[in-house]
Amino acid sequence: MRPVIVGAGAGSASAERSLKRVASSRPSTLHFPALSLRLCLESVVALALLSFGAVVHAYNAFEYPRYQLDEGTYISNAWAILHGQITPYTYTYGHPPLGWLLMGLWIQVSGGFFSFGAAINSGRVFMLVIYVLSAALVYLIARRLTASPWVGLLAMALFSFSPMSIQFQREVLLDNIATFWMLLALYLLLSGASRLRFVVGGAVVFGIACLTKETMVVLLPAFILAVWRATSPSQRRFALVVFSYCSIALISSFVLFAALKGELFPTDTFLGGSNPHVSLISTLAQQAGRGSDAGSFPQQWAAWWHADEIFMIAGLVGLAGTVLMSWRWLDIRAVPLMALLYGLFLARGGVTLSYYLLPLIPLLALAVALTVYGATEAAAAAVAWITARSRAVILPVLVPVLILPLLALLTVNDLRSDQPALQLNGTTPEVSALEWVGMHVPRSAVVVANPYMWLDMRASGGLASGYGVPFDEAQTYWEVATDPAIGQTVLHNDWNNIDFVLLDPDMLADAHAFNMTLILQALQHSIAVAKFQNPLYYVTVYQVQHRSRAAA
Amino acid sequence: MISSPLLITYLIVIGLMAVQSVFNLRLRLFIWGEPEYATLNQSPDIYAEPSVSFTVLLPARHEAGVIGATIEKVCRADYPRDLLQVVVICECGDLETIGAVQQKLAEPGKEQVQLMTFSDLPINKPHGLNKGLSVAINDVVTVFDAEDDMHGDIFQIVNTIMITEGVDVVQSGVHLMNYDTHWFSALNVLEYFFWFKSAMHYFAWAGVVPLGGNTVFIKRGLLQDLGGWDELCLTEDADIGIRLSTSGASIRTICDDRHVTREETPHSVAALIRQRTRWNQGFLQVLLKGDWLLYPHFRQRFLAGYLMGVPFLQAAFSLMLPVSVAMIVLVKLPVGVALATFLPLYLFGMQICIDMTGLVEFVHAQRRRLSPGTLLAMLIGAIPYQLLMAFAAARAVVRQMRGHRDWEKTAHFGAHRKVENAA
Repeated sequence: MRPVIVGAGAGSASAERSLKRVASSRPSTLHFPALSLRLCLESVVALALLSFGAVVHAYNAFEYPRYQLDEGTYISNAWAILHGQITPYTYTYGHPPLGWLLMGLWIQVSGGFFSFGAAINSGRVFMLVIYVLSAALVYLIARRLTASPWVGLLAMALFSFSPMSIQFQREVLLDNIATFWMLLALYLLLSGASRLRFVVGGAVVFGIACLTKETMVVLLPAFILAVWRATSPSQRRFALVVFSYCSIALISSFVLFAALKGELFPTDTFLGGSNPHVSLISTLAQQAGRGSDAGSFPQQWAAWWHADEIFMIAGLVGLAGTVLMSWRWLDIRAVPLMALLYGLFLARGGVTLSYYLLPLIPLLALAVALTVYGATEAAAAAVAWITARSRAVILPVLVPVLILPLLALLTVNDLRSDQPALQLNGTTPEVSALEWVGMHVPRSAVVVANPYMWLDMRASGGLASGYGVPFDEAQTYWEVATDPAIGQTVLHNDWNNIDFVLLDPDMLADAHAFNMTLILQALQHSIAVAKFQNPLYYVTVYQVQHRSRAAA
Repeated sequence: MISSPLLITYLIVIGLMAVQSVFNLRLRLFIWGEPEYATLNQSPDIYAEPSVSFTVLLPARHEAGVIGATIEKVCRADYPRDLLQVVVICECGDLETIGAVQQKLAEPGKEQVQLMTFSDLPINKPHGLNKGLSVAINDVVTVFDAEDDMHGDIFQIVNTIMITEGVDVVQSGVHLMNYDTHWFSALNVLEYFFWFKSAMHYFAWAGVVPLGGNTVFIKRGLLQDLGGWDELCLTEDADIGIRLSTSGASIRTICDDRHVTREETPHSVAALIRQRTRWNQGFLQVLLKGDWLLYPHFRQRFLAGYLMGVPFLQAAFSLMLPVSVAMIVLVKLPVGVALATFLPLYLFGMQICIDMTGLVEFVHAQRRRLSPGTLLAMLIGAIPYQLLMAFAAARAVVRQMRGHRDWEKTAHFGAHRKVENAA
């Protein structure tokens, strides 16, 4: 088509013509608003709520919840990273290592593993940092999508003050770190104003999220949708290719890493060779085929429902609301899609642990806040007597009305709960057991314990080893039972080579469920020498009664 | 196990390869980096009153087959006759081309076209251009090659840009059209596509602009002040671009899919290598001449030096790719080093993906159909193409050292016109 030649100065035709092609690009100026009174006030209110969230997360965080097995595993892995290994025991590719690599860095800057008491406490302080960053991102994402600080405050409050948030977000878990990266990637895409460097940044951050917790991979379609929406049509093809390539390339580096170590294919396959070794593919296959003994989705669903009914109901309503609104409101589509993808992934029928909910908490919080916003907008538009002026005060009134009962409810619930997050001292049995071991057990003893105790025995300066030299022979029960390098090579499959077993309900359940013969035999031949307990948990120190050499 | 100094050197080379690939990707994607940049490639919708006068230089050598049609195209351009001067320049021994031109000039409506012949040496494009420049009378001098299909509105567009933006030089885009005639055509087409659509804007932004060989519009006074084109340089276009930008001329580049000048890819691997050798050797000459040292900022000198040297750098790196693959397979590297070795391979993979996207974009813009076979051929051809480029770079160095400075001309058959007619 050939443009018509007209004299310079004929204006309206040109404006129309150029509009057609340029109007399709998204609003694109990077927005650094001038420092106004309004913005200052907004920041003060947001920071106040964020600080309150941080206080609630920090208060009693070393005492509740009790130290969990997985927390011990990840903090021990961070220790291994600082000692030139990926994990203290054989690395089986259960999770990619970026999460505890980051934790290792944190340990370096925060002054070692035992700056805050037990090793896991260091990790919990790190989780507090991660919480603050994630909560800020939830606020910013909601604010970016609606241009309303009130929606941001609501989303941040929902994210912060569910009893489940307070419990799970305190725990040293890869899911917390990965959730932070997920939120950062989403925020980069939403705030990038169609700039390609933000798409690249989003891809790298999403790749990091997947290399922190592999399950994040299921969100890839939602992120691709977000890129689609975040870029102008003229850039779209390239932006989509760049995002997909960068993130998939980063994720694939995990597979490449296994292949370079000769640990991709299983033993006794054509490409795997015949030398016995761990393998990424067999670990993945095993994880995929794992039954739901450790926890199923319906089971956890009930637990979540029990823990915070209000959040679950609101979350489902919010999810439905955002799905409906997505029909017209294209910018928010990625949020419900992410929640749906992750929810369906959890519901697929494999193992679901209670904390697997973590990535869904911010997504559901955002969905609820967006639905509240959409509902007020729709109501204001539908009701004739709501003028523009009164419309401006709906959210400022509504949001505090929603947040304040939430906080009141939290306090009441916490006081009423059998596991009050703000008061219960859940870690006493664990801490006392460690201190007792430090004072009473010889350093050369072979001690089998839960991973959450391992580092405080194994590294000098820990709760148990702080009284002297570390326990070089401390082992975790899981590795004793499953890693041939420990069970066979070190212990020769003989219970008589174990000196102490620190038994807790976790170990007892797993030992029976997975038939950990060596540990069960050691327990049969031992006597309890000390017991530490509170109404919910116990740790018993068992000393193995060795056979004499003659009897053996 | 290999020794640690060797390992460190290897890692440094790998690092440089990665940095170079990333920069290469940045050049390719520059124009898609920000949404507003899209307007940089859009021709004005409203044309200004024609007031700039143009002298069109058409150097032609052994182009009897295509020159007539090209003259016809220029004469039919939508621009007032009295503001156009067309000079066809031939070497006096090239009787066939001269005959074809004279036959065309005998047709009606060719009053503003002149034929100019020269008999002195060297017989090459810059010499011909300088001859043409000596008889040019209009405000702005422009160059087209004998096989070019320029758009009929190009003078209107450049006139408008020069008036509204007040620039000294306008470079409009050149696209190769026949992306599916040879295994290498798509890759060749994409080099032009990314160069004119994206990289040129980065160069203009940085103030370091190696201009193209045609569809370039330069104010005559500037050109004469610089003494015209360098007759000893094999890439007189890049050279004049560097000299224009060092002297502070304002340069605007534009590449609207509707108004690009259409050309064809070389018709054989040998022709492609000859063409590329000439470019590489020309870049080497520009590098050795040292005009680029006159840029005021270190960044600019670095960029210019890099641009002229990059064919050789890339040649070395493309030879490193098989080396690094061999390293992975044969040498037991520490896992970290082995992972690092993959970085250039990952980036090369990304470049291939970007290229494939570019082809889709190109084909879509030209309203044609892309067959999966073409994409597949491109995918398979990517590595051999890199090796061809490396060979051409090496060949250029050898020729330069042996003192072969002659012009290996690319023959033209009008494949781009056939494509257009078929479409």
